[in-house]
Amino acid sequence: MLLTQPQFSDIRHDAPVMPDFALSFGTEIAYRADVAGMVTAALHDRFAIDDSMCVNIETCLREAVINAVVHGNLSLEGRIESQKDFESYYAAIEERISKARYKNRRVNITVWNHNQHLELRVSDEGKGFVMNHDMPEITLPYGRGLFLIRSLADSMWLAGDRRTLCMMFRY
Amino acid sequence: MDFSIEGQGDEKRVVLSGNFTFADNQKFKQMMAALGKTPVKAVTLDFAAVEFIDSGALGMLLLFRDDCQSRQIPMSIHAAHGQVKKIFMLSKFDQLFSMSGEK
Repeated sequence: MLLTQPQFSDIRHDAPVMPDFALSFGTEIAYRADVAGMVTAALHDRFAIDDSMCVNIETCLREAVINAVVHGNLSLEGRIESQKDFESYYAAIEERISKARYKNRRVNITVWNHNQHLELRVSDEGKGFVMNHDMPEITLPYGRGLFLIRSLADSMWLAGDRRTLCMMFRY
Repeated sequence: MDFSIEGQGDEKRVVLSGNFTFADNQKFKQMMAALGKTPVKAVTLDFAAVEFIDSGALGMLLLFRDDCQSRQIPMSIHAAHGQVKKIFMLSKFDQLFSMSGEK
């Protein structure tokens, strides 16, 4: 099942059993609240995960949630190459997040705990994406989110709908 | 994230604190604007009180680096530790920035 699959394959069409917990946020709450911090604190308390693993989980979860909000639900590209791009990018986030078409979309976080493994899935209601395995160009100010997840999680893959990023951590 | 700018002369130390993340774009803009208002010959970003960083903050630091380079201002990073140091190392920031006082 989930936990024996090879690392870093792009897509898996599995269907996990009942999760240990599931949370759903509107786009604006997912963007403005510390969702990753709250979920990680809950995982720490519930499954007695040590602090260093919690830091990795929080880092990955934060990247996954921002990706789900910005690139998923708000359908924005993230190519920031200048100060001007930076300003336009954040202005576009604020503009879209106030529109019903975007802000009513959900970000869902689902967690399974199994045999000292945690599986976290973060899904959005965007168009879906293709996993990029390239190392980010180190001087470019964008494109590091998935790279950090790939570096810190024990495995990462896309669910079949291409809108759900899955991460697994051994603890 | 919060920041304060210290230093009497034209060598400035920007003391950062808290979590530095994607959501700190306004604070980051304020920091750059504040530094742009005074004569600066060198900048040190002090991360001793920063506990957490994400890829959005890495992007802001790279934009800040570009800005400093265009103004020929040397910049360095001081006292990165814990998760922050780990993320800097994964992102190869040690090849892009002068780093000191790491714990």
